[in-house]
Amino acid sequence: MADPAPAQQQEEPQGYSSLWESVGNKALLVREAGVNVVAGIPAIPGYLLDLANMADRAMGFNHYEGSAGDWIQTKAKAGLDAADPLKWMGVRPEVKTTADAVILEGGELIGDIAVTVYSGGAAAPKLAGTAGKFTSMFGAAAVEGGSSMSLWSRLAKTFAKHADEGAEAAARPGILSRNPTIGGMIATHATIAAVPLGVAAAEVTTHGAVSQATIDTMVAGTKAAINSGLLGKDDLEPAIDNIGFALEVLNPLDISAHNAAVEAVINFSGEPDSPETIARAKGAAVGYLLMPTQAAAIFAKYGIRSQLVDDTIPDRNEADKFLAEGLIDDIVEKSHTNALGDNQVTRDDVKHRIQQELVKPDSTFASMIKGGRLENGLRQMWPDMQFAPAPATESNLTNAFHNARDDAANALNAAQDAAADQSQDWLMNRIMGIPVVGSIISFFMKCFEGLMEMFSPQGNVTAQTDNPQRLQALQGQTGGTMPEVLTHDGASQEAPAVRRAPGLSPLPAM
Amino acid sequence: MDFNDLATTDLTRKDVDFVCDHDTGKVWVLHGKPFPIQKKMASASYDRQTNLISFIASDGERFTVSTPVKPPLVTPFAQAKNVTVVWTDKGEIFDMHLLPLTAQ
Repeated sequence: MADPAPAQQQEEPQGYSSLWESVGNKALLVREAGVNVVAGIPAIPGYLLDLANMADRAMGFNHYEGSAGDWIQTKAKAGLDAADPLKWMGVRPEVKTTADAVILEGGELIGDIAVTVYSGGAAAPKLAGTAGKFTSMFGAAAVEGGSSMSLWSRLAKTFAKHADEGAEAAARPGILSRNPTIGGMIATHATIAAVPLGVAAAEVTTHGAVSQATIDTMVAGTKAAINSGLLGKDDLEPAIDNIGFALEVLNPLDISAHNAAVEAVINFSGEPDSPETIARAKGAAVGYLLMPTQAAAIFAKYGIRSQLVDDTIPDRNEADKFLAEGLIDDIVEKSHTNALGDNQVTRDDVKHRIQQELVKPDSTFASMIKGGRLENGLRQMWPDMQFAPAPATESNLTNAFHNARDDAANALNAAQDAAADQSQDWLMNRIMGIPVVGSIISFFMKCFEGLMEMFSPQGNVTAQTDNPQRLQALQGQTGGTMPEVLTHDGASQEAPAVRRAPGLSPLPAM
Repeated sequence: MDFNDLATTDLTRKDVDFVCDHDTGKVWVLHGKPFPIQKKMASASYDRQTNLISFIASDGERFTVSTPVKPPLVTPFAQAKNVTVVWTDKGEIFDMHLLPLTAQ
């Protein structure tokens, strides 16, 4: 990579001021757009947007191998494509316009930042513009708490306020321009903390489609600092926490849904304080994190650590254990919900939950863990953990059916009882997306479909029974036609008259 | 529903049904009373000699349905890789299993 031109390192301070002020303003715009998308357009468009971005995100995480700059362009385009359902459905076109502007402008901004880092730090002083001021300001805002909206307002104002002061640091050669100084070190921290905010401008509208760019820039900046001896193991976690917090701030609705899902399990389990209810609630709290959007955030941090840990911990097993502990602690932290009160999720709870996932042959979560460093790290943490897959999918489905049938029914009831809330459909989608519940619902549907096949008019079905009324009663629940009926002696008998139920039951009666 | 209170080995011919789809090879067992190992069934086994189907619990306990499968359902049951087991009566489904099925 070429050395940066001196002129590029000495840009006008007011340029940076405008830059960060712009970031703050964009953040507010995006936040508003995000709320409008979710609350103002309650069900289908938001859901389509969610689906499109989930798919896009998965594609980005799994298959993208290009540069950060290319990635930004791809993601910006993908974000626009994802917003298309809003256009063709003809609802709230102003949101479409806002989303367009935010994605385009945010994409350009992110592209600038990413190109800065990947160009060898030619524009690193830009990132130093917020320097330590930004880091301390952001931390203080986080400690003060308050709503995400007010936090964003404060951030936007303090961006503008401190940008000029930060510009002083910007004039110093930064670590990314390979001239380590105190200012450079601060610049690196600023990069770690500030870049996610710029990325976040598009993050809300694209539901996280730009997370990979965040990781790219995080890794590039932090690697440079580690290689220069300016960052060690102790510095790693605070840096990673910065990005984690920045992204979580932008996700308040997901946090609400998380809490609502856990509350639903508690409130509809009969005995809210019983150990069984608490265990179920904890399961829901952890299980929620296995949603693609939530899991991606956790594994993004894991991905960052995995690329940096070898530079700080030479011993492979120790490094892998560090990775595993970081992941588990992330899960514990993100599982925290107010609904759990004094019964928050612990490391042991997570161990139990992961253990359950590991023995599922069709678990996405398990497939992410097995065969890699994380498996080794988990073995270092918990030598008694079992990694062998369960013998058969059918058995697991059966177990899921037995163990959590009530949880699924309760969660569905909770969602249905929220009918007065305009976000009901959205909440329903969220709850349906919880693997712990969603897989059970899928199982219900699989069972139901299995019964439907028994009575398919196109089927070539034979029943052997001395009590055809039992079949007939089932057929009445599912519709369809009665199969050919034989007795247990093998003799043919006339099928009972077909009797259809007035309507199909969505789920088998329990 | 308390499985243990209702579970019985006293199944009559009227309490169990066998169903198969000759085109897809899928097989079902319907029963009107819970099996003694209802809560812990993990797999199923089909005996080609006796044409009897047994259910095996996770702890190894077995329960064999005394009513044999008859043609033309014998071949589908002998070849199926799994079986859907439904405890149902009067249109209501009390329990359902999808079990791996092996023929011996």
